[in-house]
Amino acid sequence: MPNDMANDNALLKAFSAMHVDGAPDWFGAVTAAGAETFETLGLPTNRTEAWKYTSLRGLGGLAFAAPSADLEPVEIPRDSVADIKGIEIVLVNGRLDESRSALDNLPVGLAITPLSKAMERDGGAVKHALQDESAIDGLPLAALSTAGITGGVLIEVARNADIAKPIHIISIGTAGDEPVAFAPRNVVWVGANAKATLVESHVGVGEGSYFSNSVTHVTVEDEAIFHHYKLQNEARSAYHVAMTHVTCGEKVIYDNFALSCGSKLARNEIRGKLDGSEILYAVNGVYMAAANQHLDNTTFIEHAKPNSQSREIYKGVLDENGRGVFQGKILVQRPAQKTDGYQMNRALLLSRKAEIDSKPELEIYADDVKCSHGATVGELDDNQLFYLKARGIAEHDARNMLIEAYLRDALEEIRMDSVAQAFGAKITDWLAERAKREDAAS
Amino acid sequence: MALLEIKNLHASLEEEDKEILKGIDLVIQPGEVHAIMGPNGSGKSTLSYVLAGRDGYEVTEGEVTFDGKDLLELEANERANEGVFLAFQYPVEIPGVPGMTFLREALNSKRKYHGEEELDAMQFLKLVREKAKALEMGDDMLKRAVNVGFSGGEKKRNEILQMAVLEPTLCVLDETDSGLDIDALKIVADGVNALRNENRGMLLITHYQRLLDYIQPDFVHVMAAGKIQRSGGKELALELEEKGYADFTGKAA
Repeated sequence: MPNDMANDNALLKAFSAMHVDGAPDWFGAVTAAGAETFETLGLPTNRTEAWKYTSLRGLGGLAFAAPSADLEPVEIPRDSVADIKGIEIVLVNGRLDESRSALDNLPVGLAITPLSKAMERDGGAVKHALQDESAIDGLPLAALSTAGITGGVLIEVARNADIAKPIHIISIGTAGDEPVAFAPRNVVWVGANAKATLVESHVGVGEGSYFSNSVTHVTVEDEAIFHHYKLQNEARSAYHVAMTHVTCGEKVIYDNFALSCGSKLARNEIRGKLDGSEILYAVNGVYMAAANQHLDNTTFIEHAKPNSQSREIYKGVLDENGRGVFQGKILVQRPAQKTDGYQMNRALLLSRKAEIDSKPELEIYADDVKCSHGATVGELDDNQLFYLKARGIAEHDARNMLIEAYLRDALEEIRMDSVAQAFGAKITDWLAERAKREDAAS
Repeated sequence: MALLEIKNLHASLEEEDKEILKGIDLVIQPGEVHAIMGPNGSGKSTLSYVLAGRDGYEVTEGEVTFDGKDLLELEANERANEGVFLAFQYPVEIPGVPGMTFLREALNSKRKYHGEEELDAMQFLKLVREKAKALEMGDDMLKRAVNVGFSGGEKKRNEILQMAVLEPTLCVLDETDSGLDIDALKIVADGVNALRNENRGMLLITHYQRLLDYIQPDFVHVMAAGKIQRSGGKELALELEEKGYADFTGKAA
């Protein structure tokens, strides 16, 4: 398809024009490998199994440019960002804003280093992550991102450190008339027996179209506890594709929660390798789509060793012609006996035009495992609605109460109260927007 | 003026096109307590749903006037705000909605409807605690999500609590005695009796006479096959207890 190829080339050109200031020589080989892999794979279409329900056709048609070398002078859109008191790191169009990021005077045991500086270190976590071929192998968007890494940070939590305050990455996208693409890259290393929390807020400023194509590498060493929460609240004209690679050692507790409500099209993909025993691994989330939004959550969990547990619960609300996609694959390798895996996607359709596609997948090579998956699609319960109305509550208030209850229930999965509260506020905002739409329509 | 006046009410299930109510006539004056008794399938619960405004029922003939207004013209929530209260046979569980949030929303909907100021959380809590005490409902019950984790008896008490807080002028109690042991029945009956006054009308729907030992009705009606077959005083209930509904259905119920 010559047309597709032309689009691929234009995208690759935009990404290849990006660079990280002061990168060492080996970095050139990393971006070249990314470009090469992307060229081979091409921008995925619905014919690619992993992208069956999420078309990136809209991306190809937009002439993206690399972000300008100078930081865009934007305010942090506090209304969109998760409202938590954290250690803030600010990225604007994929570039680290050092002046607004907490790089110094950090708690003992925590180091945050700009990606460019971290790359200078030989044998460091960044080099290890960027040179990992499996991070882009067969993954066209991660490869494209690697072809044009714009910036980011290395977050290191020392062995035995307990960082109580959450680390908060705020990634801001902004564009004028010309669409902008960028590729944030963050590398997180949590030392053995350490404990930390990372929150990501992905937000936008202005009406312009931008494409955030990020990759995050997370390594959690033995017996460490890492909470990882993400708010995807991008501008409604934005494209958001995020790949998170997670590797867990022995007895790790890793829990991920993603709340997705922004962007025109988003894919939140988390690939976890459970490379130890007695791991508790959880990836959960909530997605709320309204008109012309497409929200995709794709997860891959590989159980490589025996006796680990994975839990996965996603809940979605799809309004107007909003569309949700859930793909969850659990792979249990032969040595991973006594694996316990559970996966569930629940979707609530609020409109006849809304759509959900669920694709659970189990691939099991061990013979003594417990794995289950499920998916439900439903509408609001008539009995509950009537009960509320029979007590004097108007139809649309009653509906909102039930939707809110359904969504808030999912927040129980978040282990940190302040984050659950901040994410709960986004649910409230979303429902208020919805109520406004309904009032305008009636 | 009558509080409730039902004239020749016919209603069917929309989906099945099957007539369930076949011409009901009933007048309730302020202050009166009426009991409708009848076998299963007689249309008792349908009558309560049609009065409360549940979707899925079609009124094909007749009229219902409540407090001088055409009740059938109103949405379910408007009927509630006008003062109609249905105590459900099976109160619905709503996980994730705190009971107090729900009840405050309900009360404030009514206050707003009547142009009154809404109550804030503190004022509301004070009011509810006072009403809940009489029904032996502690804070632990009030804190839970709507009816979640409640026993059958607790659910019924919760219905009466809502009734006490919302202060309706017409209470329709659908099989409120079902699933209650004697102690729970006494608490619920005391709660209902405390709400009896000269302005409020009540319609008790029940299969058994037992409830009427605790809540004494002014009138008893026997309903069968979608119609009121006979009306009388409270002695009619005793007669039914003895003879059953066989006279009205042609078989023992």
